[in-house]
Formats: sequence, C-alpha cells, structure tokens
Amino acid sequence: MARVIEHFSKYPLKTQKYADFLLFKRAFDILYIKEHLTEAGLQKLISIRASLNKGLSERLEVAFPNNTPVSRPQVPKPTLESNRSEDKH
Amino acid sequence: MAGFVTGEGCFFIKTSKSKTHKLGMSVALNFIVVQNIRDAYLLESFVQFFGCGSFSTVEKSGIGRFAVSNFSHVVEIVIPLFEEFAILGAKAKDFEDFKEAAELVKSKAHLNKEGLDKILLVKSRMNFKR
Repeated sequence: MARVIEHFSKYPLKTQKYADFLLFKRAFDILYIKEHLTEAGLQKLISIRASLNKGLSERLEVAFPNNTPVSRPQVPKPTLESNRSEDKH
Repeated sequence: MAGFVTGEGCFFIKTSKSKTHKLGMSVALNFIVVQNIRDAYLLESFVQFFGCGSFSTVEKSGIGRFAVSNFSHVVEIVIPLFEEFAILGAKAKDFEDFKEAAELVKSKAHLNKEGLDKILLVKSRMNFKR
C-alpha cells in the first residue's frame, strides 16, 4: 500500500478524488503507527472515513454516533499542460 | 489525458433521422467526456487543452460535459492526439471503430447507401453493443 501511496504522491490526481486520496493517506498513516489501536486513534480514523468517498455506512453511523467528520482537503485548481507538451504520465 | 479518456471518455457515432439529407439520415462523430459537476473546472480546461470543443453542464443530473462534435476538429485534433498517446484497454477497440467511421465520412462514403450501411454496421458493434 505504501507503494500505491508513493505513486499517487508522485503523480497527483487532478480531480476531486485527490481529496479522497489525501484522506486515504492520512488513514494509512494512522494505521502505520498503530494509532488506530487506541480509542482516540480509532475515533480519528472514523472521522476520516466519514469524509471519505460516500461517508459512513449506516452500521458505522450507529456504532459511532458522536463522530464529527474531518473537513475534506482542498484540491488545487487543475492545470493541464498544453496538448503538444503532454508527457505520457 | 489518454489515461483519463480511456476511463472516462466516449467515442460516439451519432446518426439522426433527417429530412434534409438524401438518405434520410445524418452522420456525426462526437468525442465526449462526462464528469460529476464537482470537477467542472477540469472539464472546462479541456476546451483550452484541445483547442476545440465545448463545455456544458446539465444541472438536473449534476454533470459537466466536454464535447467535440465539429468533424474537422475530431479528425485533425482528437484522433491524432490519441494516435500519439494510445487509448488502452477495451476502449481501444471503440477508438478503432470511431477512426474507421471517420475515414468513411472523410471520403464522403456516408452520402451513399452502401457507405452509410457500413457506418451503421460499425456503430452497431461498438461501445455498449460490443
């Protein structure tokens, strides 16, 4: 998974899905340092999940009723290189 | 761009009934990319990127749409770009069919019955009918 994250850090998405990637990365970091094994860390993880993609499932809503979703990261305005200088990435 | 269009783009042969055409049918080639309206800004910038086409929104369905429907723009800009930067996967076949139809229209074959039938055959076997 670290490799996937490394790849999309190197070649960032140009769409709003980039915000989901940034949230995903934040969740990965929490798991990586095993912070999700603490109560506070798990709450943090759920707060990220609440803003990720379609948000919390009904089951998670019920399990974590006091959760506040984190705000979604800003996606920079996309710029496209002109048609002629486009590289293959 | 080629990667994005492989996933999100559409090459479409548009045929419409027409009273002003001898064969009763007009043929147009459309290149279209549709996204959720949240990425409207990106699609809008396609107009500049391609140097052709137009951007529109359909508020009701919450989508933004980039389309190139001018035939010379399709033939001189869109097709050459994706010949240089290949469309991959299953959509490569749709692009090939699209190119075949473009050649037929370029040679004015769509103006006679036989050529039009050929184009309709190509259309009938591409995209979701594949």
